[in-house]
Amino acid sequence: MPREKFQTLTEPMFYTLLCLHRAAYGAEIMEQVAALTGGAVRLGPGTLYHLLEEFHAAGLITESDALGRRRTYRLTPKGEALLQNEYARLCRLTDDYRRVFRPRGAAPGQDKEDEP
Amino acid sequence: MKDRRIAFELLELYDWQGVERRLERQAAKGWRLEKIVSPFWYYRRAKPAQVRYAVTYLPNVGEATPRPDPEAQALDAVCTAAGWEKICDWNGMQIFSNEQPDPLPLETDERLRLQAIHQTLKRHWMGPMVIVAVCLFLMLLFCWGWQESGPAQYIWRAMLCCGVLYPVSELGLYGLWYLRARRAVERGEKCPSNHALTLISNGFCAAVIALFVLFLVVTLLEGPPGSGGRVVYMLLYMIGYMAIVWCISRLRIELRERGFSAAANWGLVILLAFVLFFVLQMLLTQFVLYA
Repeated sequence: MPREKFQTLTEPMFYTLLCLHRAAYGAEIMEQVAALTGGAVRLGPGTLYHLLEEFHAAGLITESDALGRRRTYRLTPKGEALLQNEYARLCRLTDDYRRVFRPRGAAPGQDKEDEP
Repeated sequence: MKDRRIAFELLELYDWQGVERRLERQAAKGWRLEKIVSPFWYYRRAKPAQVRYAVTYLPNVGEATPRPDPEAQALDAVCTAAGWEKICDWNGMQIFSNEQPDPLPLETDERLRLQAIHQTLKRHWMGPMVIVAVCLFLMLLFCWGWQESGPAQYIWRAMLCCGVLYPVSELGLYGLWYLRARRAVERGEKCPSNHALTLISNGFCAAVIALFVLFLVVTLLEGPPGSGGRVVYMLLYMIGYMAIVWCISRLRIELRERGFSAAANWGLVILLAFVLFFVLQMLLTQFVLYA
């Protein structure tokens, strides 16, 4: 069954939305994503433009300012809810991981990394 | 030494890798792209350098979209911030260059790249290609028996068939590539190269041109008296056709730079095309065919 669009977010999508919790424009978003991820997530300007267009068309972000060619965006309540859902999904995944790789005899929630 | 040159580039709108490689090779030889007025690419002389070129697509910005376009400006602003300078656009394809040694790529998401390519081609390429295929097919039906029997007739028919196969194969091969690319992107892989499609389409183009030249030569050598007039007619027709295509492209660009709406642009361009083709047909028929 095909997934609904935005049912799960790719890393570029996730970090772009995260950076828009405060109003930001293109160059700022690229810098913030690079800083947040230590360069692990590369967001090309063409990709960022297409993402912003997709998010805007889906009502996840809104244009908060336009100065010449530069457009500033921020999250809408719908975008915040989507990001919140994605965070909850990622937490479920990490919890499931910890349950599976919990060492024998360890208390629930304690995993191998906590062993002395 | 010339400062400018015009090239007839046989590159396809979907062949982003072919376009990037071609422009990088030209820049290394000292030629930088200035603008594209279909089917000609205009280069200016510059110092040979290693310049990176990259392409992205804006499906909503076509040849007739009035300029300046807000979407294109927004894209330019984001790309400029990453060091990419806009060179020109071509039917939805946006061409950028960067002189930094290892710049951040323009596109880092293959799904979005494929989506932008496909939407651009759907809006600006598939419709015209279908129209070209239908027109060439009608021409094939209408002109099939145009020649007296003999070698010239077979060459003529082969040329018509190649002419029809050209847009049909382009559409079919692009469709196959798109399905392959979609599966690759779903698996998390990169879009496969489609440069082979450009080579195949160039092959059909070369076949049509070669058959046309062969047809003219055979007609001159073995045709009935008066064949020389027919050969001249066809040669002048082809030259006139290319000149009209260039004029139409030039007009379309001029109208969009002056802010004419896309509908007005297309309307005036189609009107001009009809007038010019009519005049060409009348002049050639009157002064060449019946001379």
